[in-house]
Amino acid sequence: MTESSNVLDRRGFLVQAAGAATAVAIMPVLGAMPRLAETLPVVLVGAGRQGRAILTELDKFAGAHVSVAAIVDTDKSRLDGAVRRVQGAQGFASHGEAIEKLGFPGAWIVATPTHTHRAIATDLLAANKNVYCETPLAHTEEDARAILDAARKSSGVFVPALEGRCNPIYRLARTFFRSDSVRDLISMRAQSHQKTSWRTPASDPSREKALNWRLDKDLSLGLPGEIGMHQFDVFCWYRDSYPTSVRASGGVLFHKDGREVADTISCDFAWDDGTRLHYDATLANSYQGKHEILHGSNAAIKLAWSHGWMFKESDAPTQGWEVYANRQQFHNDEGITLIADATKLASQGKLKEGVGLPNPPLYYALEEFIKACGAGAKPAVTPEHGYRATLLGILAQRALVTGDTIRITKEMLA
Amino acid sequence: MTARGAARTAAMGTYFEVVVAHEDQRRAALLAEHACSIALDLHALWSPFERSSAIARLNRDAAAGWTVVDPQTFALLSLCRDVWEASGGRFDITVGPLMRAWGMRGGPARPDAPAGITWGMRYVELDAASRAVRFAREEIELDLGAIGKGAALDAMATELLSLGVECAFMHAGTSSALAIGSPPDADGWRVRISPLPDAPVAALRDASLGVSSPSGRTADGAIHILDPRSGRPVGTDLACAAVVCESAAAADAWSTALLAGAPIDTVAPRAAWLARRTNADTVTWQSSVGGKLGVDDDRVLERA
Repeated sequence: MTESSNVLDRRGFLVQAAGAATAVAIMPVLGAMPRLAETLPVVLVGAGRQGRAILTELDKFAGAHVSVAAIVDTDKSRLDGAVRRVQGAQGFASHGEAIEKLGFPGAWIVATPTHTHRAIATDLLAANKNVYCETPLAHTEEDARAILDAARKSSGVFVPALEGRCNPIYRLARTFFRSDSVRDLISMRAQSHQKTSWRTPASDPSREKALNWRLDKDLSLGLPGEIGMHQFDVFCWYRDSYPTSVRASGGVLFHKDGREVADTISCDFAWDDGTRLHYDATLANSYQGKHEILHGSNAAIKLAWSHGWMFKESDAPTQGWEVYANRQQFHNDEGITLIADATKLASQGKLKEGVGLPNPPLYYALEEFIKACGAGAKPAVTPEHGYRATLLGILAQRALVTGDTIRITKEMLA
Repeated sequence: MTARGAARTAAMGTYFEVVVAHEDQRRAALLAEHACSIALDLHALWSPFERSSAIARLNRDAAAGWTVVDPQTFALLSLCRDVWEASGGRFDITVGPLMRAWGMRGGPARPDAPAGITWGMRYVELDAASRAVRFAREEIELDLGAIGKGAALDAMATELLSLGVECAFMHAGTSSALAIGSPPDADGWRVRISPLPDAPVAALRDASLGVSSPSGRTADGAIHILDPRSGRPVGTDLACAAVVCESAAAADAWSTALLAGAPIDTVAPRAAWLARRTNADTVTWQSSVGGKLGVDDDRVLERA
């Protein structure tokens, strides 16, 4: 062995060893979900775009004894298509019929339009089924409260789909945030930028209005509620506290096609310690996509759902493992890449290959639910988390529509 | 009166563009945008560079055991295997490591290539009953770069057809194009298949076009293509291969196979063209329609 290769080997070993040691200390390990003791039957309620994405992720649990037993959809062509996709699955035109015929508590996944969640989720919870419900839970406070009450009374598991709370990179970044790495939180910023009409074409024009419920001002929570609430919840989870007020503005600035739901908005949430979260969302521009940033006196953390970075201040203390961390350049700033399964990757000398989540965020939210249903694990996301996140979306949308600053009290969040 | 709506999106390392003709301009634009959204979804599903994609997951996990994939990915991998078999191994989605080793994707060539590299579709096992994939060798790595764009166009067209679209044209960069119907005032969507001299024009009606050109240059600067059968680059006088058939994915795959040396009449009943360089400035074109060599190029090509 030559001297240079010897040196490289030693350096490689040091990199791996340091990466592994750090990872053991602070990073969760991502692995395949363990096989459940018994087959867990899954029922998907809603076979639209989100439902199909859920089916794709559920395929990955096939080796863990998870099986899609039934699919429910009120639209026959969608139902037929989904049943064809999943071998052996039964099809039902209503959730009531499925509840009646399927006796198992199983794992019921509600992926229907927001305004239909209440009727479905409360029926399922009353029948003591285990329920995963897409969020926002509902488009009104009353409906969201009804779901929360039903979840509290039910003996079934209820997991609201808050993907940020289940995301391994977000969980890892939260450990940094809760430690001294970020230090004093100064401000927060988030955005969701995409270029899309937010419309879906239907083969039957008479179905177009129902299909595009997100553009119906009576049914939709708009950008703050349908998208923003997931991001608002990340900040509340990181901080373990909720804002005390919200104000918002916006309008239809680009898609002037007769819609009344704003295509561009901004919101400001205030916390009682004086910090604020500024949020903006648009359907007219995709620059920098969807992300959240927490600015602290030692570092900023940027989260972008499949990726995360930490940007350190030059006067922040250096930790030993940083020497070996993977970094990315963003114009004049250098970000330390947050890698969720660093332990395994570092031991294989593949730390750089670990940039980005190995599965979409949806996978981890479903995994949380499946572990709760099939293995008795306590879910990290509670019905209260889902209710409060939904409420923030509802209040932000109300602030947008009314132009008022809305107070958020502890009583409202209880 | 027919109006047109158009949309464009960046996916799979290129731009997808869609034009839909419809009596309602707003609906035409909406349909075009909707088609583009499918390209984005499939980019997320098939890009080997997106760690959460189905292909990256297979590259990570499939050597360890059977890995279930979604129906679209499984159908595409089945097509890849079919074309691999029918072309005698000239189309192979496992050659990515070879391309890198020979310096055909930037970076230096490895002097010992292809030693130590395992490739070959024969090591990719597909189980249709469980929709699962397994690699028989740990080093196998899939890359859908030679077929993914066409497959995305197929998926986009399927969706548009289900929504009642009768007239649309879409393409993914310069390599893949697909036509639904024909423009109101023409017998087909006319596409010049290459910027090379005397390149034929295909008038596409309910048909797809796939075009491949050699892009690999080795250290000596000469144009080479990789022969997946030997794992070695070979010099070529081919400047372009183009195939018209019903599926854009199949057109993509067969144009790649032609470029790698598949005889032009093996792609019957499809239509195909080959351009051979005769010197620095000129090429000669060879064509085949339905397995017959030397037919006219400028014709309407319809779905079988």
